[in-house]
Amino acid sequence: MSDLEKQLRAFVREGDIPVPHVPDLAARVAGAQRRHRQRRVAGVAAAVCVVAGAGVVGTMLRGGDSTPQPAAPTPSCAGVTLRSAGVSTGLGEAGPTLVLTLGGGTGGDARCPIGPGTRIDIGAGVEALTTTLAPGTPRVRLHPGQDALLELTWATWCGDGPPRVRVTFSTGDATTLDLPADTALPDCGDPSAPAPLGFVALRTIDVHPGGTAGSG
Amino acid sequence: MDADFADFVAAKQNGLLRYGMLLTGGDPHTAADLAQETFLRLGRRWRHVRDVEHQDAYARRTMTRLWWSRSKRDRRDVLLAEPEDRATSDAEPAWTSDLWAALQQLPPRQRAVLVLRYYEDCSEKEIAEVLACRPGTVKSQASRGMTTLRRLMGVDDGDPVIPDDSDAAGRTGGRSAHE
Repeated sequence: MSDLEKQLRAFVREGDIPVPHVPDLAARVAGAQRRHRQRRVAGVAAAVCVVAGAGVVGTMLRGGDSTPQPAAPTPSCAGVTLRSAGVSTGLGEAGPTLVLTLGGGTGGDARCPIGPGTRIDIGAGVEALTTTLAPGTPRVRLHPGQDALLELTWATWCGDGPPRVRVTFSTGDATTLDLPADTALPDCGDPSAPAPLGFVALRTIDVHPGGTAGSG
Repeated sequence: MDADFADFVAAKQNGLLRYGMLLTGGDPHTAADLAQETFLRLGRRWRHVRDVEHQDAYARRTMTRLWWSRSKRDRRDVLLAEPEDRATSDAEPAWTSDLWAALQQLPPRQRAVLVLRYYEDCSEKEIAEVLACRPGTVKSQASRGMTTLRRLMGVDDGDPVIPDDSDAAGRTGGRSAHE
């Protein structure tokens, strides 16, 4: 190695290079992270809107069925219960998600609409997180003998211990469940800027008498 | 922000800002932007990055890739700009030493090759991977960079010796020693 190379090695490693003073770098990174998360949630919502819109257009193009339909059952969510709630830790950028299982009950012929307008509350007070499923979110009708799986991103939680989860339907009915004490909760992150809950998925599952379930 | 990641940012920011100054040839604004973007990238992959053995080297290579992508884009912008705009960007850098001044005058890729070579002890192949080019290009850029440095410094000695892959395989654990 030549003298110049030795000088260069010493200089790039230890040399006197002016370092810019950026006292708010950590805050800038945190802010950029928040904006990135918000853009990702908005992107998912936009994709859901596109998929839902394509479904509507497809239904219209098919022209529908001209056969008179029997009167639709009255929408009611009175018998729907929040059967389980858990947190999926997730991998990579997906982050933790809240997975809710809503049971449609066993009797009657009421159909419970779940989708746009359905509200989810996590906890109460100043730490509470709330979201209402937006127009364009997939809609399902939960009937007796079915379960519905609802998954939401849940990136931050600054409250004490596992909170209570409440689902309020567009019919006005509501159901609540306390998260188990051993639930692995998301990190608090920045208490002044909690991450919003974001819709991930919603689908129904047929519950068979033997206890098995099939995707619907 | 994750508490571990916040600690990481606080501990590494000065080192990355200094490295950004080296890469950019003394542009503090671009160095700060690069540091922010680098931490953002690392934060998105924090579950992986926190278990990386040589976090400093990993962060510097992330920054180098970001800077090189940005440099190519900015070069296109400069070429498209009006001559008056180009002229205003040729401000005289702060000369703190002959070597620093000479480094600042190198073209971006030659400077990146030399920084990766002498800061990180990277082999030709490793530098080529970071800069997305061929090892032969790395070799020629290193040679031209050193030739320019020798000319600017007024010295006359041989070409730089960049280790091939067999040399690189024999090196272990030295990259973070100077952090």
